[in-house]
Amino acid sequence: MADEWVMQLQRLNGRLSGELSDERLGDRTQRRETLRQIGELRPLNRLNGEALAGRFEDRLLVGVDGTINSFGSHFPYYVDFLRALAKPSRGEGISLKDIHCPLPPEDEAEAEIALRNDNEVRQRKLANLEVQAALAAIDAYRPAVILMDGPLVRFDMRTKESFSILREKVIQENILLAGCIENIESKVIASVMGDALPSGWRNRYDRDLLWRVLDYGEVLEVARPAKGTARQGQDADTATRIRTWFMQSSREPGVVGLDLLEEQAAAGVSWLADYLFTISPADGRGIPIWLDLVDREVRLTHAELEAYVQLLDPQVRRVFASKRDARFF
Amino acid sequence: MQVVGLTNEQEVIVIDQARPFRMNEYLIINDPALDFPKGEVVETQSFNRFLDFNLEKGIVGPEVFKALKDSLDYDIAQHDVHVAKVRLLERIQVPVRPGTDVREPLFEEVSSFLVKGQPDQSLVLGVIQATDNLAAGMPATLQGRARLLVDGQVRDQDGVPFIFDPRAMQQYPHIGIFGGSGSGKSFGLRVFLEELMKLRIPTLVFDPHYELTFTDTPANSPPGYRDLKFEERFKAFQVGQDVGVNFKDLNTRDLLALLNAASGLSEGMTSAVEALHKNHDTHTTFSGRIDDLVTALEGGEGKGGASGEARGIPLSSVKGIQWRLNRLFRAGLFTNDIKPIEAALRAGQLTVVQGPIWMLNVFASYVTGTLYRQRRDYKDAQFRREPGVYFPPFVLVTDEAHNFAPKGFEAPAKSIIKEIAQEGRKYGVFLILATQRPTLLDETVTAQLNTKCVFRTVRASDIATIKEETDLTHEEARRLPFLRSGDTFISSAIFGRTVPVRIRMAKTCSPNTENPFDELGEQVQVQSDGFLTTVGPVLAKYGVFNDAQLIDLTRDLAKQGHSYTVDALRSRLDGLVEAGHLEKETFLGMAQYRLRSGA
Repeated sequence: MADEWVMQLQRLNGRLSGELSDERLGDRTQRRETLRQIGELRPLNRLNGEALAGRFEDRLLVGVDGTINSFGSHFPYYVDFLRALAKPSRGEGISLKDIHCPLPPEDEAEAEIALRNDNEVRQRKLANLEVQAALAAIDAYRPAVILMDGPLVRFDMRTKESFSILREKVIQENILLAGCIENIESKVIASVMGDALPSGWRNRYDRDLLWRVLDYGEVLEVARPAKGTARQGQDADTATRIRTWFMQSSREPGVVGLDLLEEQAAAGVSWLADYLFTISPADGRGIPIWLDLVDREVRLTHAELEAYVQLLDPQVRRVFASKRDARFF
Repeated sequence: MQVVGLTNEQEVIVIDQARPFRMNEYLIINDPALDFPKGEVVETQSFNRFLDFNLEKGIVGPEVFKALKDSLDYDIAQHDVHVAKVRLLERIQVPVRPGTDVREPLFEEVSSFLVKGQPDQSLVLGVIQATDNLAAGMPATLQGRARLLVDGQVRDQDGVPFIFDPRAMQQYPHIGIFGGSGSGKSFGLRVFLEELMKLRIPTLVFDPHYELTFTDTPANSPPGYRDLKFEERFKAFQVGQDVGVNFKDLNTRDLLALLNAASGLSEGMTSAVEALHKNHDTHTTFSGRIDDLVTALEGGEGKGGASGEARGIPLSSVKGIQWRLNRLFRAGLFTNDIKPIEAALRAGQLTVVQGPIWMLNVFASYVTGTLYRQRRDYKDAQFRREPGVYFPPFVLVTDEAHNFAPKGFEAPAKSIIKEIAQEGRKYGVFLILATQRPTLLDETVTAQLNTKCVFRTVRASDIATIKEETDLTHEEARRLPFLRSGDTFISSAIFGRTVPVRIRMAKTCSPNTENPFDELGEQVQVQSDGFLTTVGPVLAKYGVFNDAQLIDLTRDLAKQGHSYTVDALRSRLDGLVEAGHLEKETFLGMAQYRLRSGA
């Protein structure tokens, strides 16, 4: 008897291979031609020596990343440890911490809603914490560049108020703000080009459209913003607008995204793409090494988590302890 | 710096982010409850969590970190974590608590482990490694005691001097110096001897290599470094030329040993000597007896005056003895005695006895036996409260000690060296034995060497012997094949542990350091210059000449008493061409020579 999974996977293949086939996108040369319609496709420059030395003068680079570690796993019996780190290239850095716990539920109905939304709640808290860390880093260091881990639109959507403050502040203080996106989940090309796209291209993900199209060391500098929304009561002119560029900054197939504020991107920041390419390991994931360093530092080790959990009263801790931990295998 | 991980009462792991640890550096565990235990770094490592070794994850190329450095002045090395395994110098009762603070010691906190003597009354042999951070706190008496030679460059003392108090030898006698060729063993031995001269300790040195004289100063020696007139504090004697054996003093056993050293004795010869040698024989009486016997035996039965007891001794044995006796006589062994050696030792001088190893071995047995007996008789008489003739305590030094006291077979000097090894300290006679083959040295002797300096050693069997005979740790033994020349581990009962030392720069050097291959080159030059002087005038007469004229040239040279064949002359001329005195052109297969102007 045939394996149910085998049959289902075969059906899935049939369904998707037509939809996702490269043939519908044209050959590589044609695809590159199409991409040139939405922006400049250029080789990235690996900076060295003088070009590097003069770039930051005495100002700093700040990388911002956040992390969530949980104790307990079943809603609502868990405590989340949130931490955001803004790590400057010189100095201690800004580390902000928060705790999130859905307990105690107000009533049954509310618990039901929270169950569906609680992940979003903590993601908002984390996004806010990261933006707060970035803001604090501006006051403390007035860096030249702030690199956020993940798309800027994530902050624009999840913590709109504080992100607006950050946006205004960086523009005012002439600090470049950028977001590095390792896993692109956007449809920037589709939304910028709209109906101008060939029929096979419409409504497809950027990741899909760009797969193996750029050479190593190339960037697609998209010329128009595609993301961003207005605040409540804000008119469209002052709304956040974000431009996304795509870089093939490592030898791995698949591009990474670079989110820039429209105001800053329009002023010409090609050097930033060159610089980030320069500090991205060729054999890595394609994101700048600085974010790897921040990521390594912000992460909470199991031992640290255990140490903090000991601060909970035993009867409280018992509530969160999961039977999973006592499994034999 | 702090203690981390699993600790015990002997070893702890210490980490630091500021600087890497150095092998053998001293540290203090800052725990008052344990009375601040002191420790020594025995293993070091460094680690950077961003420079992980993980083949699956890919490697971040150095250009990325260089870009961070160039653009942001960000150094990834700031994340280095340095790790040291620290062995405690004293046992403690409970393990060190993890998290305990660790710091560098002040000199006075560790001085009792490092300095075991007064520099003016002791041998200052070198500098204890990895103690440069303690040097500043040292008292002035310990400063500027030694210079170091590192990669041919002279350096000032950069640490705590290693001081060996000879007085401690009364309790822990005898020193071994082990190391292969080029390990710095010979320089180490030289430094020992210079220091013994400094203290005017009577010292008897057997020098089979003719290198232990102290007249010459190294070319790179800084001015004023040679602070003593060593040439007045040592005397060198050559066996046969300056010193020898007083035949009258020889008993039959000694004589047999001597003859055997000249060349191996057969059983027949041995019994012949036993039959023929009489007490109080001089060389003249003994050799006369041998000669007479040879004449008698050669002349046949009934002739001559061969004594009755010699009858039945075969002619071949007697001739064998005669030949050996003559060899020793021709070497001058019987023309002198050891009085000059005795006098030099009594004067507190370093007395170097040089000779070929076959003779030195026998001579060493004789002279050491005689002198040791004198010293022993004096001390025994003193013990019995009787008057005795004074003879000073002395140190006996030899290189290639495995030839003098070999393991597994007999050598003339072996029994006296063994005797001194076992009971010499009672009489104030001490050994310094150097060898590159500790494995071949008699085990009884090795076991008595309470201080051992181990230089670079490559041979596995020797490393195994050293591990067995010293308290060198596994890690230290592993480093032995890679030690720099002049670095040594001094494993001493006096210190109770192994101390890594860089031997100081010697103030003197051996005379025969000319490279034999340089010598060859010089000789070729001398010969070629000589040839040019000889043939120059004749060549000048010819000016330009070709191959065909060489025959005329040989004739002209022969007239002046220099005879060459054409081939030999051609090859000598080619030598002159190479040296640039002649030009040679080959035209239509015919060589043409032209004397260079100025040649």
